[in-house]
Amino acid sequence: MSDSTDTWRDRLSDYLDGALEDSERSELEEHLEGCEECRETLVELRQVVARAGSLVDAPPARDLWPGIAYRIRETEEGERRGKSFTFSVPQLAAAAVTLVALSSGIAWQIASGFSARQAEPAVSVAQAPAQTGLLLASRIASHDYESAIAQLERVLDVGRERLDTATVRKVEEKLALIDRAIDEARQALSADPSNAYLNQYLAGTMRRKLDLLRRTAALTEL
Amino acid sequence: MNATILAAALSTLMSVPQETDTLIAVPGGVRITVEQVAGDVTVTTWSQNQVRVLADHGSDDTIELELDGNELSISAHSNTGMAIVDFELTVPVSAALEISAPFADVRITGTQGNVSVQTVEGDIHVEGGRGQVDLQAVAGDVMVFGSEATVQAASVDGDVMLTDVSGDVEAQTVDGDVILKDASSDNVQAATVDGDILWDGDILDSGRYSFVTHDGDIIVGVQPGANAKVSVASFDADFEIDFEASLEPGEQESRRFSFVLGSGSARMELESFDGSIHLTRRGHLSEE
Repeated sequence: MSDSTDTWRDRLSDYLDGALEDSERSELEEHLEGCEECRETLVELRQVVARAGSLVDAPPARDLWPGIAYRIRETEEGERRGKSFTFSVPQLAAAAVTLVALSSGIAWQIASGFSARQAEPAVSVAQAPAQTGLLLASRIASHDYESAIAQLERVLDVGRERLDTATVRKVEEKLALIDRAIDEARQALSADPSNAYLNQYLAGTMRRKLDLLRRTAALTEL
Repeated sequence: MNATILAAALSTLMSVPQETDTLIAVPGGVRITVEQVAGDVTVTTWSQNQVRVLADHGSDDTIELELDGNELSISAHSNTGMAIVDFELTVPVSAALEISAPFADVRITGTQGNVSVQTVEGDIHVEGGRGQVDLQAVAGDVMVFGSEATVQAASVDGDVMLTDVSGDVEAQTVDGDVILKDASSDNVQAATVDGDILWDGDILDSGRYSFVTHDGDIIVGVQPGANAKVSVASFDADFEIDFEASLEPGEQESRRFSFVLGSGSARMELESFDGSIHLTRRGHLSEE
């Protein structure tokens, strides 16, 4: 991969947004004619834009967010007031996972078109800024995952006393394993921000952490 | 119908080994829930609409069976602490099973109903199953043999091994391997963080296969005549293929590429962040 490829690939998002100067746009189009890698990345970016656009036209069958946000807010207020949870641990865990499924739909649209047969989450991106591109999608997804993960970790702190000490230790070791994987993916992504695979991979690894947290939280009810 | 049977211990001086053996008639399509803290749970099936409960337990433990409509709940309680009970259940072949046993090995053979098992410290072993089989362990291996069911199998610290499965599969672990042998499923998702993924099955023409690991190898046995578009993605993984494929020279050196086998009708996605990806012929996997 040449330096010029790196330079132009980082500008593809701006190119799609129409944010390049005329001279830059001409230079990039000239580069695209001779660079297959950038052409492929551009195709992927366009797919993200197209899919995000189609999601705007497909509103959720049921807007779950107000209820979830209300419950989470209520929980946080309850914590501040020193009151107990109104949600059981698994319910809140499930709500947090639902939140992620709803709010990170953009990231799930990234990548190779290989979607197995998973149902695509209903999602509205009406509030998403007009800017497009893999990095933006990754940032949106990452922010939502981190919020959900933090929420679940707080929930787990409350419920962990119901788990065996050895079990807690094992889960923490495995969470650390996933955290290392997330860190490695983040480092790789910072060096190659528009890499579609790394964006998708980071989202997938964070989803695995969420899933582990959700399952562990549910165990506190066994 | 609502019936409760208590098989209570008589001794109050000390807990001594005791066996409870109970037979209860159940309606067709019964759903059986088992809640037990520690001990093993073994389930076999028969063609009768009856459930036999054989339990080895201490004399301070109580085995409770409650039949309400078509739901039979079986649970163990202790007057002095944690009930440690080994259950041997014989259930109707079509019974649905829901077993929650934090510190137990669970073994189920011959069922054709839905199965749900959750353990914390214990292995899960299921033979058979139709409909939905949902198995979750924290520290333990999860094994499924000869199942036509849609299988969801997950562990945290353990291997997931599926043999001779033909339904949709979602298999995942964090620290362990995912092994699929003699599989004929057309929708498979397998993922691990620190472990290998091995596929030794038929790639069906309409199939969708996704194998993802962070720090491990992916080994795929491909039958001659397979039709699939194979997408490979990695950050720093080695790629090796033992047979002829439509790869451009040098292509496999890149981090992301795809190639076609036969008509390319199936879709296979292989992702290893930092391991190796190896495609070989089925039958050569024993060496792996």
